[in-house]
Amino acid sequence: MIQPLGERLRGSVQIVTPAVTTLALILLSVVPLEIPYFTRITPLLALTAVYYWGVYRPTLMPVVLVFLLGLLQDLLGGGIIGLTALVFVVVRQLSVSQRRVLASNPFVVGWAGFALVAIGAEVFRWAISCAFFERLLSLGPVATSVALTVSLYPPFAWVFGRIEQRVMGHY
Amino acid sequence: MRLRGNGISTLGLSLKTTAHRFAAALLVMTALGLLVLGKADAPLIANWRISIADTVTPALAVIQQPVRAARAVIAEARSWANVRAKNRRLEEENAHLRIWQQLASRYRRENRDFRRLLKMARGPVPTFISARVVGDSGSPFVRTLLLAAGAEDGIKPNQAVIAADGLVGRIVEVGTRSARILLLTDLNSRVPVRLAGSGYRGILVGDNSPQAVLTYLPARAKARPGEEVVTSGDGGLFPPGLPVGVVTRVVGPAVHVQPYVDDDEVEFVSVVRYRLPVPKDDTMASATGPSGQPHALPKR
Repeated sequence: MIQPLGERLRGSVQIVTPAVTTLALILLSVVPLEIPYFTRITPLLALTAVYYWGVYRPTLMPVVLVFLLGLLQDLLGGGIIGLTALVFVVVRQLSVSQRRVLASNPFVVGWAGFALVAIGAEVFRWAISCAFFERLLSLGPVATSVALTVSLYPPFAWVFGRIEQRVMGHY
Repeated sequence: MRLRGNGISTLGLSLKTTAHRFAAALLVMTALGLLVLGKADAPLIANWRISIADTVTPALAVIQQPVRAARAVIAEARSWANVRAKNRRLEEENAHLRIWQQLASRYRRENRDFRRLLKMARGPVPTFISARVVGDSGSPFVRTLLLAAGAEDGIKPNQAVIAADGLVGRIVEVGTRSARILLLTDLNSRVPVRLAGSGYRGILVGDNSPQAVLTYLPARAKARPGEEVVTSGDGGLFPPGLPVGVVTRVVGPAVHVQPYVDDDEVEFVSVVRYRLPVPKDDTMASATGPSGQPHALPKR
């Protein structure tokens, strides 16, 4: 009887891994790191997870979950409710639809894809924020934030890959 | 991963795909709906937001531990590195402060005597609730902080929030165990202030950048770089005289103010409980500040 229990446990760990890693990044992005000027350029960390799991484990990253995670990011950050949720859902759909291209080519292709997605996502968030607050927001911090998000993708993807190998194994 | 299977499973798969697409479209619509609802400024949204924060605040406090530990180690190493220089500086500062202390106690005595002579009504005395910052906005679009204290600690909307160096912002959302501060530098922040030197009043407006802009100054007011900016107390939300920042640049009509508090580095803040006395039959009555009895402040 021990084997099935172990298997089941392993199965549930597999199921929650993408969600838990995304959640961890959301929480990390709102924890004050107390680095000067950092909060103004905080990268959208969780976007890396949404994209990565969308490409490699789409079934474990259902669109409803992605929506709820985005909503949580919005609620915790005190920003515009629904904006990040919207961005996450669109990014997830994009990465899932292009997963064959993104997953079967060298890593750089996936990274380039992520760069495009991240730029699009942040420019979209910026545009909606401008419309929402009825003011032209400075693009400088947004550009820095995008650059950080994009440059953090390789190490994050590497970590996700290790977690995936460890948890999912042959799955 | 190749798709294999017979006709039925292919049909099932395509049905599933359609359902997924439909779900995605529905969620996109929901998100847009929330955006519109938020723009309509429904207090409903603020309530959701703070109740989620209430739930997550303990988790944030836990996640923060390693970050704090790492910072503490770095700070410790740094302080060891320049302990001698720091000691010398502190000794000098101490000597300087001792002179100030003497002056201050003389002024306090004088002030008390003058007040007595003038029969001046004392304003309400603010009290403070100290709390830890457990979250920030995590995005370039808003400037807020999340506090690990809420209604059950006595925090109410619109209270001023200060740190060691001066004003941080004001409380905008209050949950049971958490509260959100709108920082001085946020796009939506408006704080009634005055120039400490000349006494001219204006409104300090944030723009999400590290500095804020002093507006609505009277045309005759000439702000100079280096001049201190303090709260004016207009509107009755903030106690007057809280240090806010210092004028750094004056470009035409735009007066740029650098807040004293670097909001990226605040760890603890104090929420100021302050109420203007409700006009009663005579003055002098509410000399001891908040009495615990809720005053009938106009709700906004």
